[in-house]
Amino acid sequence: MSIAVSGRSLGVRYGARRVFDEVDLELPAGQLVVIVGPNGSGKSSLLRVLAGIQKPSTGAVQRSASTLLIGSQSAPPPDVTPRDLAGYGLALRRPWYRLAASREEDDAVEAALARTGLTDRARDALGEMSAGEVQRAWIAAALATKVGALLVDEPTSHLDLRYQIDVLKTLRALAADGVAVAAAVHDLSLAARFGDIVCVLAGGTMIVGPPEKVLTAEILSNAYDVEVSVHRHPEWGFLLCTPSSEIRSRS
Amino acid sequence: MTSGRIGASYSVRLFALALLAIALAVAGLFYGPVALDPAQVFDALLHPGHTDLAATIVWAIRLPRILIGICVGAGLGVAGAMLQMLFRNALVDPYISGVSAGAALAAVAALSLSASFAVIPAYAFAGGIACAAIVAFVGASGGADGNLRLVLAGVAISALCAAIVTLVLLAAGEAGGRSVIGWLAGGIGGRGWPELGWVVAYLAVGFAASIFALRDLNALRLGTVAAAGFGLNVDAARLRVLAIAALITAACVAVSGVVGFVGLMVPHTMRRLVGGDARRLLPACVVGGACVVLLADGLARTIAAPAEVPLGVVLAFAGVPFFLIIARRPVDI
Repeated sequence: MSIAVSGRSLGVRYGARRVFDEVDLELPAGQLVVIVGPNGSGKSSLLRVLAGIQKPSTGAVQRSASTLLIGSQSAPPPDVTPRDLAGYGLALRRPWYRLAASREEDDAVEAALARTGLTDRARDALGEMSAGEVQRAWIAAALATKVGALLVDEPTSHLDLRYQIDVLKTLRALAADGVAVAAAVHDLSLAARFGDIVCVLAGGTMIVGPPEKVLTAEILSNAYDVEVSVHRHPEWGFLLCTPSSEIRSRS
Repeated sequence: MTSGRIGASYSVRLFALALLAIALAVAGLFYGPVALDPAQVFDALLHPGHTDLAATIVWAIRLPRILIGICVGAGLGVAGAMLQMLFRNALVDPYISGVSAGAALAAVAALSLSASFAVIPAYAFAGGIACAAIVAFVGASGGADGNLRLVLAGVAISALCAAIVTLVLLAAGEAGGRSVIGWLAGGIGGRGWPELGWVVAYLAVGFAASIFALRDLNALRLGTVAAAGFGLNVDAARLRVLAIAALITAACVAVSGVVGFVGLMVPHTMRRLVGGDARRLLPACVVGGACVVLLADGLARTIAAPAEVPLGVVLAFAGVPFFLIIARRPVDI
């Protein structure tokens, strides 16, 4: 399995404040890596460092593939359409002397829009679309441009349940296509359900592993300073992570 | 507004704008301090070799003036659109970004050294890109107030350039200074075919280069983070766009002096008409810019006839209220 992005001994400091230190993370092609952790633990900083937009205070990042970061502040102008978004990215891959899009480019855009369920909305302005559809438009652009790695900062925030599942399933599909995908999310159960690898970033360090190894009551309780209970859904078999106070109040 | 609807009606809108530009250009042939009836104008147009008054007015004064107006408007409109997309700031234009002021300073220096007109755009290009680079460097330090800093840096650099221009004018003495002052106020009168030829040559290079920069401009619309993610070398692309915008501005400044606000008003209005995609916006700015300058020049020639108001003055009266209105609300580039 090839590694698209690899960070070694990464550390980020803002002035005197140490965000994290000695973080190692590999993003393998074809896997969805989910990063969880409390607010301010450095999830967004880590994604920016991995994407090469922010220099780490310590350590180094190696990228063997083009890496696209979709941040919470990546708001394109409202008149941009999903087709434009993918087309803008693809246009950069053309030789400089070729001005018009080729048939292959158009086909790649259409295929990506179809994969993300946006064919019917391909020509609608993003300003008129829901947050979930905008996320899917970005993912379609990543698909069309065949990025090697896609990093997404909080793709599910502000989305209702249906769109959260929708976006994460699309990210999974992207990973199934061989893309290295990393997403920072807040919902621990969704992280357990969709992540091939889960990273818990808290207190300046990161624990990395498969969901069942990392999403344990002990690790999560320490990470969030809240008692967290982890159990399996009796029918579906997924891990469910819940703050224990809520469980106590139910029982 | 969906882009589908923009796409369907784009050619119609561009065609309507082109008709307006043609109408304004034709009107410019007929109206002026010397009244010519349509028959005289047509006769003059059909007989360029004639030396009567009508033929002289049409061929030596009005036609080059109209064509230079079209070039200056088209150039400043496109340069303004490129700079606004580059800085993702609707308050930027060649004037505010310091490009015009730097170009004017270099052009004044060249004029006072009695340089040939052929090289004045080249001087103006060097001056314009130098000032734009300083302004961009100050504004690029980013943050929430990056845009404000950019505008302030542009104003400061422009003021400095204006001060140096005054020094150059003082050194040039009264006779040399007066002609330069007239040029500086911004206008397209009194220029002839040789100047037009040079401007067209410089603009042709700038416009051709801008066609290859359309993809850079569109990628920059998505923000530098996403553009870099799609594989754009953002710093190189910004430098390319800045250089092209400075070249186009320099050609305009060399022939018309400092004509402000065209590069601000035109992209802003055209964006509302055809959307922000560079492939649609830049052609619309070519035509829209020509319309604005032809209209303003028509006013400049007629409101105080037989005297003439400098074009830059007319545009400032229209442009400043425009600036104040758009400065009060955020605009998506």
